[in-house]
Amino acid sequence: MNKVELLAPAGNLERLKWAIMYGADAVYIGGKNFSLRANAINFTIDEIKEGVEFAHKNNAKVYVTVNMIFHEDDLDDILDYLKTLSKIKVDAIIVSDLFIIDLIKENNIDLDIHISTQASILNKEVVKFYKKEGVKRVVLARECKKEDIKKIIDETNMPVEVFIHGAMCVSYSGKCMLSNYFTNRDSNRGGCAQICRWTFDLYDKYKNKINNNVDFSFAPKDLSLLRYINDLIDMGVESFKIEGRMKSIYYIATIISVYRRVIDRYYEDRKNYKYDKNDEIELYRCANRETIDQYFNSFPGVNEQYYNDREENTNQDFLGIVLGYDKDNKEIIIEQRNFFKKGDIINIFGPKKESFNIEVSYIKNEQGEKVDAARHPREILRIPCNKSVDKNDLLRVNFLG
Amino acid sequence: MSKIIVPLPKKDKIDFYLENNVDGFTIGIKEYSENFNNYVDINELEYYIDLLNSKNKDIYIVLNKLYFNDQISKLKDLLFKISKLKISGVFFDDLSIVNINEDNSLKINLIWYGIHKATNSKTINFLAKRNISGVLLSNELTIDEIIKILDNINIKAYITLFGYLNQSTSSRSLLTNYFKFIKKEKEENKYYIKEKNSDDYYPIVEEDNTNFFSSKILNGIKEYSKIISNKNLQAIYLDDYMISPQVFYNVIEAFCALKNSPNDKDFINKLYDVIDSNNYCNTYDGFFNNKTIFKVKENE
Repeated sequence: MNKVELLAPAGNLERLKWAIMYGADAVYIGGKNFSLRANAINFTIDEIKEGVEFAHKNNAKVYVTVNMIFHEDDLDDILDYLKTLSKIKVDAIIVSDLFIIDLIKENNIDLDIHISTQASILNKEVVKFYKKEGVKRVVLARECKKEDIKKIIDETNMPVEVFIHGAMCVSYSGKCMLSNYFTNRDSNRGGCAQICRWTFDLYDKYKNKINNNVDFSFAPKDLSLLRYINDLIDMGVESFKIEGRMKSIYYIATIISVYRRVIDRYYEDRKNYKYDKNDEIELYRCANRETIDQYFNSFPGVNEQYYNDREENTNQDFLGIVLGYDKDNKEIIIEQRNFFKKGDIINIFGPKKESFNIEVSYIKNEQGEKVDAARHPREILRIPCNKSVDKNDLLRVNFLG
Repeated sequence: MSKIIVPLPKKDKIDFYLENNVDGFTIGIKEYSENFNNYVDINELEYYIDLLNSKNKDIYIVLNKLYFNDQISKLKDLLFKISKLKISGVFFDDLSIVNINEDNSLKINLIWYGIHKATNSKTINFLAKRNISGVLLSNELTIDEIIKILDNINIKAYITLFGYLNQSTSSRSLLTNYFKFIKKEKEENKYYIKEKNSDDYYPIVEEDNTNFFSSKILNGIKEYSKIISNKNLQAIYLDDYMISPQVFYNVIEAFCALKNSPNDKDFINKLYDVIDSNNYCNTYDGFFNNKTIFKVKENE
């Protein structure tokens, strides 16, 4: 059995590299056109090419989202775009609009097709439909419960990708046009204005307001299936997908490194594998919303949504990026990201390695002067550390104790 | 000339519809369909099919939900039953229906219920090659896009020209959850949501799924005159969901009247006003003359 793939989001080239460095087996990205997240930075063709070369050098794959629902005016350049993606050796495209399947076949374009979660695939018969069309993988709807996932895999033998972490849509993906009606921005073409994060008043049929104290909202909490990684591997899921093409490098590095560690630990010793609460602490702290298992075990109810007590935390755990290590002076050279001070205990973590703590006994600025605190974002600083660290390791608040 | 189809009304209202110019009916089936005022029980299907066939009406069954894996077995049974009925077709959303139809050689005439996704001719023609015989076009298209699509497709199209427009479908019980949270009894399945600084009330209805609807009612009678003779337009769909029967009668009559004078602009404007006034002046033209954007910066 192949090892499950850990699939990370990447909103730009920098994030793609960080995701792969921190243990992603594959990344999914969007080009400048034809992708949902139309208002993200996204990738030029040259950047996709560079990303693919970087990924392949590191034994990773790149999937490009071509997942918008096209209108007539959007059709003009798609064929050339697909040919270009094939030429630069993209590993697969993620699509939801059906005509692309024929476009690929009829033009003998060498690109694997994965069906996007936008298609809201909930059952084995839909999967069989796509299998007959030569599709290589389907991304299941986030509404699937564990029994659905298992039965679909067992009864179709189709490679299946499952979302394991990130934000949820309140509605079936692809069947939510709230953004079109409230803001004139087309959600199925990447313009989603996230109306499900707004608050409303609720009225009865006589147009009487229901409650003055609690707004009506329908924002779902985020998803995390960390606790069920072993179950999902045993079910035969081919790929674990993490949501968040708009997320920061710190978020990507943290989430990927935790899932990487948990997956590897399970493969190393399935019999003695145990869920580690510290993984959860690390993961949940990085998210800015509550994370839960959503549909996996049971149908979500009142506790899986936010009302007026919604917490969205700004995370200031990310303290800096390691730029290098001065072996002679035993100092880490860092680029600062958030405030820390002399005397703090901070945690250092990096790709595929155990994290460790150090006490900040002094901080030096670029001029070699000692300062009492790291106050200025992106300032280059030095802190002492007896243990050697690597470029692109990250410094964070020590929340694990 | 294109036909007019409407949802099957309740038993006590059906005579009016059978005697007027409505060409066909859509039937919603309990558990398998949503957003109907009136659902037919599976056991009553044959009665209605016989009745409508005796009046030479077109009959469409609407299976407009997505189905979870554990519902597939019952869905299959239903499709086997439908395959034996004399109907014009089945509107489907979930592609499982296409696969079941093909794998079991059921030969049901399938029409794609593409209210959010049937937005280009290439995808419609993709399905045409897989023996899909028709498509209900997306509600989020401009009239120019509709005309372009009609000119480029190889199967017959259906277009909704009247009714509340579906905005979104969630599998969550959003009203039940809210009422639990505020510790109050949910008394109805239908409520309204309203932005704080807006005067628009958007219906929200919880049945098996929770569906959101436009605050205004689509009134596409002016657009009807632009496409009425298009060879690829099979029928227009007038949706009575959340509309009272008395009001809906007048809507049907207005659309039927237009068929007799599709080029008389003054008459069409009058019909538009009649529909609007009958609906508390709460109608609009949806996206017919309103192109959506998606790259925000380009449009700033």
